[in-house]
Amino acid sequence: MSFDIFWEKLDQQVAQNVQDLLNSHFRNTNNKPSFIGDIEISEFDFGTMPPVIEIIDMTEPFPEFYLPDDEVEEARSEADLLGNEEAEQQSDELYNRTEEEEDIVLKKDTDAQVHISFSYQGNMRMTVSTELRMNYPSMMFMSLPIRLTVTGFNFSGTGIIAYLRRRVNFCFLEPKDPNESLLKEVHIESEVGDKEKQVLKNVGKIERFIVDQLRKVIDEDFVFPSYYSVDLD
Amino acid sequence: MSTEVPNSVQAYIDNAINKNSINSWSFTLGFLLGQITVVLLVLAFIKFMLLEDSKNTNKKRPILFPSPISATKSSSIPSSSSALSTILSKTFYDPIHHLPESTDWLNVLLAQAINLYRDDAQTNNRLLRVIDEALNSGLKPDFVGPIHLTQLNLGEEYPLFSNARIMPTEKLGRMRAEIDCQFNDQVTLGIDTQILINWPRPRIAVLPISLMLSVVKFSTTLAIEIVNPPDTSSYVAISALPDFILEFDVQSFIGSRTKLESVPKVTQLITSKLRNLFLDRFVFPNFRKVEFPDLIQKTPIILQEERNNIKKAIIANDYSMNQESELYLSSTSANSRFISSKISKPVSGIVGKDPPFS
Repeated sequence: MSFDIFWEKLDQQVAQNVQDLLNSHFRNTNNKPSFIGDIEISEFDFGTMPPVIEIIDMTEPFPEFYLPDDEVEEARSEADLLGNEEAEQQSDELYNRTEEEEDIVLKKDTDAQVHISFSYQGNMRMTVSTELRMNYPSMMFMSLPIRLTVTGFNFSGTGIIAYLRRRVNFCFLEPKDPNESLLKEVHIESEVGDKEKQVLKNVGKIERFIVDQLRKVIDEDFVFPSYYSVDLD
Repeated sequence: MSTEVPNSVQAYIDNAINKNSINSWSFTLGFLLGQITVVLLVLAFIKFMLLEDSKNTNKKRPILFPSPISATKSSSIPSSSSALSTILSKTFYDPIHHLPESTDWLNVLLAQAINLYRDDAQTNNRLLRVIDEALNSGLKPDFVGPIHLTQLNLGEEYPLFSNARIMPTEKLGRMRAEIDCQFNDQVTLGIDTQILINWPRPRIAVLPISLMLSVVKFSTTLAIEIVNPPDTSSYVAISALPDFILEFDVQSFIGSRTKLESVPKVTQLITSKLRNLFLDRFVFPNFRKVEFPDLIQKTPIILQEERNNIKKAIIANDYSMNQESELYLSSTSANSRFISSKISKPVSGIVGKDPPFS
């Protein structure tokens, strides 16, 4: 293990912050299918076991990180239309625009990338409340409340964290076995139905469905060449 | 017998006497001519052999300085830097023709001084403690944990200075000393520290790292210049010229239970950071400043006198200008009053009169 992690420092306050963050993310997302109602995280706990993180290597960042991404393209074309010279100049500084089509982000000596392997087999706890909706014959004709509680999971694989000037890029790498997913065993307890009325517990199919959805999100949005980017300011 | 001289004989004798007078006159003439010729020759000798020297050397001293190896442009010495020219002539230093001087004697003295420090470092830990404190003071960024010194090796070789010379600088009429320095050794600093992850909580994760930094080669040309700014105290500026060589050797161990050894990227990051530190602090046009100690304690009276002298110099300049000028001079020290003066009429030819507000 490379890092010494003091997991107990992730206290209630941090858990609350993560909960709020996830909730606002779900409120604002448009990706939700129409048969799923509002998603809310009602409980979040980090558990007692830290992940094991090991540094495999440190190298120069992937060249793909230096290509302009969609955001920048949009910003630049907007600035172009408005004739806003200053915005153009700013994005030109970051991306060495030449007369040709090729745009390269200027590389700096302090850019670096860390290749890590992580393994989490812990008891992180999260409770998600949502509802299944039937929109036929009309919108919200019937709805079925669902509560899912994740009580632990196994999440391991490799990933990279790249520092480019004022930006941090993060993504996972494809596992050696392409059929495998990064998210392995997930322990879920589920409750379907209104608490006052009849409740079905631990319905296997629903649990599998949710876990599959989660795996899909991870594999599509967070595995190279897709990556998540944070601007440090 | 009569002693009458016959006429012919008389005539002959007269003639002879006449000839004699003419001869003596021409003899004198000849003598005078001879003397004058000798005098002229002597004067010519003096003129051409002795006085000609200064004319010749005046012609030979060039107006332009050759551009030295360092990046200064060729410049002319204007007449205003007469102080510098006086110094150069009185110290018999001709910047164009003077060969670079060896500093072997200096190398020996310096080596002895360095030995003192090396011996001292071996016998007690004072130097270790000083460096430990210096590393852990203020400038440490907050993602770096406490730094522990594990090894300090001051090397076994000595720096060798050579080729000392006086060269002109970019500014007109200014000179500086340049001296080459070479140091090939292994001066090693070993440190143990930690990289801290402080988000979302301080020190939530800690990455231990061990480094061994060595300076392996250092080759540079040092420039030493005495700077005399008008308002502040004078100092000596020491800097390294931009064409220097500085090589490091870095060994790194990263990680707690599983360690990653001497990754090239880490070496590159550390080397470029150290090099940038050196560039910012020591390489021309940045410099290290060594101030001259003030010879006299500057009391308020002396300060006031200095200010008055400056004012007088300014007034004298203004007297020669035929235009309206407003002169506001103020001093904020406890002993002086707020002084302001307005000179609205051209006052000519009154140089040396005390200004009305002293």
